[in-house]
Amino acid sequence: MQTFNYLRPAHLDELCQALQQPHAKIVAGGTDVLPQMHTGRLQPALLVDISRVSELEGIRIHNTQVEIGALTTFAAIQAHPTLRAAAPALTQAAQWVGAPMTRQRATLGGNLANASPAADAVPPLMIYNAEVTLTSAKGSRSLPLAQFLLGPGQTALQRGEFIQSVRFELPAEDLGSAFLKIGPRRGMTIAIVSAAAAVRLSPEGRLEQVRVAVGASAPTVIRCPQTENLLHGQLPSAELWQSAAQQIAVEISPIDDVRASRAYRRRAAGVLAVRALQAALSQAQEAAQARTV
Amino acid sequence: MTDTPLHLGKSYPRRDALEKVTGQAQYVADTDLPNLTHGRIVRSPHLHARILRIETAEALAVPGVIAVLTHADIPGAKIYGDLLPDRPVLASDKVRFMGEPVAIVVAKTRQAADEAHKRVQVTYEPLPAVIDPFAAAQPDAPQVHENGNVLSHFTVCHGDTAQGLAQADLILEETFHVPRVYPAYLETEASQAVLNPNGTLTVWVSSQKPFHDRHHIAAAVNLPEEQVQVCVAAIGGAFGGKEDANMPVLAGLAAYCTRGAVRLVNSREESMLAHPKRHSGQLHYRLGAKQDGTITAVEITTHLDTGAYASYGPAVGQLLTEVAAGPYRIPHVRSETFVVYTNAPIAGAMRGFGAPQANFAIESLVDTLAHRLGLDPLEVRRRNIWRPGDFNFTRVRVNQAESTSLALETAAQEVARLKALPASPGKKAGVGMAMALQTMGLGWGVPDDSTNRLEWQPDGQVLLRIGAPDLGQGLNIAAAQITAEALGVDLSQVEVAPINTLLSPDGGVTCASRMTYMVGNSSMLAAVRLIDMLKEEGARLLGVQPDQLEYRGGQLLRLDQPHLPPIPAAEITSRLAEEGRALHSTATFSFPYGPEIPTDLGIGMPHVLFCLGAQVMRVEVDSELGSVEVTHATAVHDVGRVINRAALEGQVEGGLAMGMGFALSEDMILKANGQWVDGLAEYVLPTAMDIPGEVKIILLEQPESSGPYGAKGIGEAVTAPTAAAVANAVFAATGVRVHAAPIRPEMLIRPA
Ligand SMILES: Cc1cc2nc3c(=O)[nH]c(=O)nc-3n(C[C@H](O)[C@H](O)[C@H](O)COP(=O)(O)OP(=O)(O)OC[C@H]3O[C@@H](n4cnc5c(N)ncnc54)[C@H](O)[C@@H]3O)c2cc1C
Repeated sequence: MQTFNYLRPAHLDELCQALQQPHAKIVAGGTDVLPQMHTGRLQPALLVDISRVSELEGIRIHNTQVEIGALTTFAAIQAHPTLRAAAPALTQAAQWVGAPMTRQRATLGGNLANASPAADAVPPLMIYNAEVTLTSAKGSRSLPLAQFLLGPGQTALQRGEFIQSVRFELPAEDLGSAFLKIGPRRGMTIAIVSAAAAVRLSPEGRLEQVRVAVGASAPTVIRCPQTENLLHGQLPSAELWQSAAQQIAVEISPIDDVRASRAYRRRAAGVLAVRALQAALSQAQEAAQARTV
Repeated sequence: MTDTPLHLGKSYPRRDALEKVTGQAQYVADTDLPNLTHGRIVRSPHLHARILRIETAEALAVPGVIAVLTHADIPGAKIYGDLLPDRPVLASDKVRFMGEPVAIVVAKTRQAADEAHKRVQVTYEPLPAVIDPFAAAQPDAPQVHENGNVLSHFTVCHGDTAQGLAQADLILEETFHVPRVYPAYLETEASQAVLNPNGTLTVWVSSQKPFHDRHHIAAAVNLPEEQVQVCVAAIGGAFGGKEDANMPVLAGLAAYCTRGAVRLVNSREESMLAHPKRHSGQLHYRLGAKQDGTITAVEITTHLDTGAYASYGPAVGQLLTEVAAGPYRIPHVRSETFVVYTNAPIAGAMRGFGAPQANFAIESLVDTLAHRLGLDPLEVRRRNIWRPGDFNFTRVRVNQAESTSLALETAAQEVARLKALPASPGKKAGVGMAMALQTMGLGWGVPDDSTNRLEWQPDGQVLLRIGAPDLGQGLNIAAAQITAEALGVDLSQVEVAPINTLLSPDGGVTCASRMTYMVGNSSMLAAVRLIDMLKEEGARLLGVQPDQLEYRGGQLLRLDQPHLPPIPAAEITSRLAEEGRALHSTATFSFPYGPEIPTDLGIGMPHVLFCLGAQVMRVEVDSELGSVEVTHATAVHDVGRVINRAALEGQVEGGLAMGMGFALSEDMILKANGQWVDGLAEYVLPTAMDIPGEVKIILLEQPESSGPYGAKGIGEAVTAPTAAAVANAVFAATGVRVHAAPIRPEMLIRPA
């Protein structure tokens, strides 16, 4: 590892200032940054450690608005009772990140900014229609997550900007949601494919508000709008799920790598997305039943 | 010997356990030396290339750099190797694998060494490379070494396979592929050395064979062996991968040439590229059987990829040749093995030493045979397994052949139990089993001795000096238990000394499932001697005849005057110390080979003691995704006699986990971009999450008459059968027979 300068701002304004410096590289939990520095892929001249900027921490819920600070760890997300009840796909994704040690350090902001197509927090946040708040010395702006993620390792972050928080509307009780992931092993594993889905049931039992996001199957995590349209307004059936799986396979553009082949990813993405939909559906059904009782 | 054992079978905690989990253990990289400098190895980026030029000026100009060493700086032997000297200490004219050491940069700081190692300019002319052993054995393949790529070739025949196959009702012909497995110890290879003011060299190693290391270091720097002292630091795992003198030799060389203290520590990537793997390869079988499942003949042709240098490849090939037909009485056998040089990473010793590869093939094939004949796989095994008195096809009488059927029947009960469990929703469940067959010892004709020394100290403590290191498997505690048992003393009275070639006897290599057996036997011999000496010295000091003294539990009893209190050993040893003398005994145990052993198979063959057992796996396979979960595992192993139960169970669990990696996820492959998988993000080791929810260990204790208190080895037999048992379970669940490990989900589902 080569030498670098190091700053550790304690407040937002100091952070804004530090990021004015040329070649500043943010480090939060360091679980992506340090391995990249170790291999020499990343050679920062200045590391700005944001781990003490307390304004970036914490999960805040006002009425139905959720705001998760960029520094929030997956351990904290995983343990949050309101999220667990109302946004279970995010909780499930958090549980899948690395191992317990990783989750104590890995932050939500780092997961988004690292922009891996396999990042576990992204599919659930996509189906909750999350926006990221980006801040710099000049002020703040908000972007839908899909517009923030531009490609593998590429984001809309501009020089001097950092992720302050992630916001989304707490899903209504009758919106079921779920996250699933497969990797080469059962823990501490990078996704071969991941999927998150949300769905609501109309009083007639039709699928509504269908949302599907698939990870590790395209340059970024993607929503699958055609699959969502295909499912919208339909009564669930075996044939419907089958055509959804086929549609998913068409909408994604996976690659071959050491973890799996493109053909396998196509097939697995369909299977996993449908399973996530089914899990979301049974949750929605439970919510509907609870209401009628 | 007492009837109720004092220490045998007890789960005493290993003495290094607390140190290791609290970070106190002193590994090579923790052992600080004054004026320590740091080495960094310049490694080949090519699979195969000619070296045209090595320019060091720019690297030498980096501030803090002390030296850049190349082959030209080696004062002594430039080539080394345990079985065959074919390995350059530093490459001179050619590199033969990616990661091969070409130069060493020594600098005052690690950082300067890192920086300078990038500035050593090596001009290469890339050469065509070959990384498939079957292709490499063909005449037109790129030549890795001048004398052809087939490093060794063994054929062992018994009977007449043509005749045997002619008698068969069914002939199966199948080819199996096995992966390149990385031992993945937590501690990467490391070594450090210092040239002492008197011109001697002290080298710290993380090694399975400190005395061999001393030999190779001394040869490279041209010092007499007595002037090289090798100290074994704490070892963070080895599994065979640390039977490689590369780091000790390079550290010794660097310290010698710079006249200082140098530390070398490999990164994970260096460890993966440049240190021995389990051999990958292909195994081709033709097996004939009668309608009732009786196997009439088997012909086996194996090509093992030994990588660029010999390491222990030839010996691995021999062992594989011997066990390739499994624990079965087959009248006609032909087992032929080619150990082939390629430009892949070096393959050498690794847990199982050829047995896991053979086991995967033969145990998969026996299941296929059962399936094709419409028979129960257990029944086919019952029909063919060794019976008491049987000889195997290398004409060796099988020790405790009855444990084969005992293991099989125990496994059969487990198969029945696990088959009764229903599959989870959306999953297909299956149960499979495989027999375990592993040899013990180094093989006929190979010097296979263990010398140990016991010192009864003036304070009453007994110091045990073992000649080969505990790699983390618990050898030291087992040896201490056996010694304490033999002396009839409290375990706390026996201490095991760290290994240092100046003080420790030469105990050879820690390997081959032989340590508890060899060290145990030699410690028992030394204990008997020590007791005799204690009696003799006691008699002299007390002025009585030795036969008037009886030894019991660390004390001498006066038979002539029974009313006198017993005399503790410390009283004798402290009086000896006053005379300037010490009480110590040394004993050597040599691996026993009876006179009836065939000696025409070549040095290293045959092996004569076998570790037998069986493993049963239950898997659930996701019908749509093809992912395999091992839900239950039962390991049945004949261990002769349990010495330390906890350590033994640790061996079984760890060995099984390692076998699961081989079965389901581990393979060091060359990626599409021309680079090896060289990190643990892509090389997929099983984690605690992947270990079956139920691991059941059933230990059979059929005493081995030549073993210490009946004990025999276990370290490798636990890894050998796992992959085949998983593959057989997967077949039971899905009907898909895999012919390659690791089993990938894509093999188990139809393409989309
Ligand atoms: C052992 C291990 C296992 C892992 N397993 C998983 C897994 O299962 N799933 C998964 O998705 N990931 C996994 N990861 C990757 C990593 O843990 C996650 O991406 C994590 O969320 C990164 O967070 P961090 O705080 O550690 O980020 P850092 O490493 O500190 O930073 C990551 C990137 O984000 C930037 N950054 C960080 N915070 C901000 C901010 N507030 N504003 C702007 N830029 C910022 C950094 O500059 C850097 O480019 C694993 C990593 C390791 C080491």
